[in-house]
Amino acid sequence: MTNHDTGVDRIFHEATHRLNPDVDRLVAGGLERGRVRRRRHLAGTAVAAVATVGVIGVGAAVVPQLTTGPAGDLPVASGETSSTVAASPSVPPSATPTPPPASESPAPDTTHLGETAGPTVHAADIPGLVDQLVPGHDVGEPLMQPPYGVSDAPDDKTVHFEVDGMLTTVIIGPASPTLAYDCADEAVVDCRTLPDGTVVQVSVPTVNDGVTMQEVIALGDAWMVSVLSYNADDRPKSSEPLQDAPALDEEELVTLATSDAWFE
Amino acid sequence: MPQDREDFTEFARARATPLYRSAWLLCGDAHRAEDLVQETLAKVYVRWHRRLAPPIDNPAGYAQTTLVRTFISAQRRRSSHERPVEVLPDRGHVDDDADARIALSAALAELQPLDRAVLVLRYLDDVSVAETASRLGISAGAVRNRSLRALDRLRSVLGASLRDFIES
Repeated sequence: MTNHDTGVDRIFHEATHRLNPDVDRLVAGGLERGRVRRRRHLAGTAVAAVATVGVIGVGAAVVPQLTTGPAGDLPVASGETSSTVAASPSVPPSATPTPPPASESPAPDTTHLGETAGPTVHAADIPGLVDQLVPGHDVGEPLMQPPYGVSDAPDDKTVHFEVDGMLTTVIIGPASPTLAYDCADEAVVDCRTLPDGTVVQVSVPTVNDGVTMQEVIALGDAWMVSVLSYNADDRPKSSEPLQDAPALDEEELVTLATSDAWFE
Repeated sequence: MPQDREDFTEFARARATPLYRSAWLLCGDAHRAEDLVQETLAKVYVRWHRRLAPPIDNPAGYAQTTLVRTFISAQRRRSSHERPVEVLPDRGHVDDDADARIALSAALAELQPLDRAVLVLRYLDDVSVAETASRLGISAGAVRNRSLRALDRLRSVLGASLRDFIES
């Protein structure tokens, strides 16, 4: 200390020494934000790469019909895609009509998403259950190498694997509307509310240079399940799309997101 | 709870209060200080659990540096989306030191964010000039210059109050 700053440290300490925050709240909030950041980091690498490809090739291959809003709040790698993901006119309209509203078909039982009891599935077992729930695909083992890996915490089940050789991600965690899409943005997401209040959010496929991703979120009162499917392998930065659409179609994604298999 | 997460929770609980005190001086109000601490803990959480990365040598220092850098970064973005208000937000509960704290906070608010960060690191966290320079990515000379300038500014704003603080 010099004459210039004599006593300043004491002022700072005395001014703050009785500031006693709610430590539980700070830590809980920090943990929650940290888990979200980590999920984004793990699951978002592919999307970030897709976005990078999109920036480079957007002028040539994609009409820049930029999406706005909810992409920035996507639970998985949203921030990386918000300004670069574009809807492509090269994707033909679906050959099949839009699925009928939930009320016209048997609604899945998603009451488990509103219950306190959390997911019971082991994250590493999720690919096997996917194989059972949407048969007819070649489902791979969990991707363990960085930047992927498995999270098997009681309130955070995250696993990445390949379906027919294309990247697929399943994330199960506490319901967080801030992580879901904004249903008001109909250009980006189609929201359906099931009889028990669960909201099923089906994102419009996002395309960049032919690499396509689609996500379905089942958002209950207590838990949410997010399933993402791509049409490229786990190295989309350096690989080509393997087919026009993601490996899992919309109906299969909904089946997975609303399944109670993760909670049995 | 996995051991890694248990360790982090224990660390976060131990460091939350000092981080909050620094954040309060940087931000000047309770709500933004809480937000800054939570954001800091989130960033440390990600680094803590990063695979294939070596353990953090000095987690407390790492968290403190993260806090200050997050604050400065946020300040750079503030002007585009924040509006000044006539009534200051809730400053938390009032106690015997509330007057001193509010006066100090008002004086600190007159400083540039980086100057504020220099003072908080130097005089609340007791970090050396060299270490402060390293954490903020500026030279030691810049730390000294900013300290002198910021202290002069504090004196001019606080006036007699500062002498009272020191002499009391």
